[in-house]
Amino acid sequence: MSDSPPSGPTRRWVNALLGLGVVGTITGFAGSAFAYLWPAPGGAGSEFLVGKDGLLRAEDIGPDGSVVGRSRLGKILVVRRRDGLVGLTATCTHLGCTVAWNGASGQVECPCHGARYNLHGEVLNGPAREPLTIVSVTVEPDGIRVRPQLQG
Amino acid sequence: MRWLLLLALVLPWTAGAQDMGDVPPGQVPIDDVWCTVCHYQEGDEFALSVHYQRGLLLCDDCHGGDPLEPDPEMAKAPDTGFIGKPARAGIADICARCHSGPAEFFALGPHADPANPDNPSCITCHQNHLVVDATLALMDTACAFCHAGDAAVVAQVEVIQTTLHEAEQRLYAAESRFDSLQGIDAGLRRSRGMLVGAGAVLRQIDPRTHALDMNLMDESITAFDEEAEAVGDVLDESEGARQRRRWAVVGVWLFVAANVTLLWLKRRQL
Amino acid sequence: MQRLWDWFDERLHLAPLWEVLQENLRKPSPRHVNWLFTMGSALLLLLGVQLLTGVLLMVYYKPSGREAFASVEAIMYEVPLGGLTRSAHNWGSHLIVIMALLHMFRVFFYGGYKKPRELTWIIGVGLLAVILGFGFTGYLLPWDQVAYWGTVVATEAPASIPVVGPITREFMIGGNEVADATLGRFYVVHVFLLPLALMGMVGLHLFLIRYQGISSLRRTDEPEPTPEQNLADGGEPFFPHHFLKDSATMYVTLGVLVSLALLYPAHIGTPADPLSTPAGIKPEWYFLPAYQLLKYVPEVVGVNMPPLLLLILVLLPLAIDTSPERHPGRRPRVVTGWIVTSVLILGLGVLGHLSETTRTVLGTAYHFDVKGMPHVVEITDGEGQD
Repeated sequence: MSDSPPSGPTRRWVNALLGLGVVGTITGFAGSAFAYLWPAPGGAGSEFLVGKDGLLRAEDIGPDGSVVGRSRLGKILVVRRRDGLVGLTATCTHLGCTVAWNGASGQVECPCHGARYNLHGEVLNGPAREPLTIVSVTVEPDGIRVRPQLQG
Repeated sequence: MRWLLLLALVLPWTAGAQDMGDVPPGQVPIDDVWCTVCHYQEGDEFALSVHYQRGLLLCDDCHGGDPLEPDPEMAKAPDTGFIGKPARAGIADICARCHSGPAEFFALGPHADPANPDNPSCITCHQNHLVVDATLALMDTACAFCHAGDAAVVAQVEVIQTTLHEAEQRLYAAESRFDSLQGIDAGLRRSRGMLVGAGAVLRQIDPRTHALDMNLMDESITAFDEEAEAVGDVLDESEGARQRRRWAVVGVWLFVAANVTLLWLKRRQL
Repeated sequence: MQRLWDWFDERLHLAPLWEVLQENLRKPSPRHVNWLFTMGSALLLLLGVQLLTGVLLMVYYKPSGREAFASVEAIMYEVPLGGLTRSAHNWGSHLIVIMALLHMFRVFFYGGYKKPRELTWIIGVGLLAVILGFGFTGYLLPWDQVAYWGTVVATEAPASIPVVGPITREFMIGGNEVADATLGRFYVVHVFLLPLALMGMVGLHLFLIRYQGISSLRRTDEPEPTPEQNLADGGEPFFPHHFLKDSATMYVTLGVLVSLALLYPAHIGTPADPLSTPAGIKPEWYFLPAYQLLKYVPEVVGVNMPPLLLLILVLLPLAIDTSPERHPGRRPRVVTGWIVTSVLILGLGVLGHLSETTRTVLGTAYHFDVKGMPHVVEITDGEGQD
């Protein structure tokens, strides 16, 4: 058999399938590695704000003070005003730094590139173009609950 | 008398310990309990009880007094808290010092009023001195003390025994299936807590039996069955995963065989 | 594609290099080259898989005493395909040792280590040492009881060497007991230093093999056959002819590895506890002969045997077997010595495996004591003594 000249099409088929086998093997490894490395679904987070040392409480915020905590909605900045608490997303829309409340200027400021927002989330100055999002804040016995602001 | 106490501690480790019968480690030999000099029958019974063997209790835990004091007057002096034979109405309270659950449910049941001499107390069924581990079989004899020949009671006892026995069998089955699968899938040990939890839920039924109320027992059994079902789901998933891995091995070898065949074809073409 | 090649060729003059590469890849091997000559390729594949799975494991592994065990457990049971990845790495380590030993036996019996290929052999012995080093350091990383105490026992042995022993041990484990410091050291050796050494040595090993071609069966004082002579004699080019055989072996090896990893997941016990030693601590199977030897001879002697063995292997082509004969039948003393040593080592391994266990052979229960000697066990009511 081996001395009979192999026909062209068969040769091409065998070559193609061998190539497919190699590609399949590599795909198997790569796919497995991909599945292995795929990030685990992040913790859904809580509706209650969590700080460095556990749940944050309304008492943690002094007059004209502020606090930043994690929640299901991401990092949230809560500022105490005379008529209650105001909540804003705390991630700067420019390059993702965490903003802070400056009581002296009465503005929300980003330390990275100087973006400034007012308490409506609107951009006052600096490189940011998109506003921060206002969230609804309620004080409950367990802590500070944040929920998406209802439209309108 | 201190040397006697010392002896009690040392004896189990000496050769003579074997002659003394079964003195549990750390327990006072029954012959060193002075009460048994007069109350020898009670002493003999008590020595066989779980209270002596496992509980490390002595006479004073129920009767007061000082069981290691040889002088009878001093042993039963008022400052030792000696109460002698407990009043019938007070027995449940004494048992409830350790067995609060059964006492609580017993109070809900048909035998509740301890002052009524027609009603049994704890020791009617469980004995006073020779207390042994309570099992379902206890009902075969204990109920008949008062209800011998009462077909309705016999039927009810059988329902209780069967229901509990079957639930226990389900627990044993789950345990043995878990053990055999854990030998293959070591990761199951992380779910072991679920199995232990299911067992604990089933054990909640023990105090509840004292109310002799089928509804109360069914609550526990339903709760147990839910937990056991969750354990079953975990085990099913483990078996399913194992089956899937077997199929994956078949697939791998089909792939290898196909490629080796192609390599052979290729070589014939060279 | 052609333009890309041209771009590089214009600047680096790749054409002559490419020609040399082609020539060496297509160099015909002697006629006797058969399936036994595919084990090196399988080893290369296994080492590649170890590299891949090892890098993947490093992503989630945390080399600290407090976190190592939990991170391995998370890899096993939480990371998608994590159990498979670690099992493949674990089984791969066993297959590599087996394959490396078989490969070495093949080279020995075909006389391939002889002049002019002594360097290839010596690098191969070095690779064996590196592989064993991988096994030794990797064993500790899961940080479970078996890993911890296996390492305690294994690192205790060198301490018996006079004067330098205790210092060596202390330096090796980074203190006077196996602890966090040990884990850090072993980790760096396992994931950085040894891979570095391995890659360099494998590269050199492969280069020498291709550059010198596969050894013939002729005496070393006769001229080596030229590639043309090999071809005329019925030999085949390495590429593509022999490479197809290599590929088949690699596919089968991969199949074995994946099947083992799927069906028999790697073990993870209970977390390391320096305050309580579990029963029946034994090293990996390939360290069993050395482990068992330590029970019969003074520790100083026993501990030096494995390095001595590697030294003998290095000296084999240089000083021990310098006769021009390649055929195993014409160098009976070396072959006999090799076989006797192999059987002795295998026997020690079997004794080490049996020691301190109770097994039933033909209906009689035997307890094998520390030295591996069997003692008949009286059967008592069907309840075993152990």
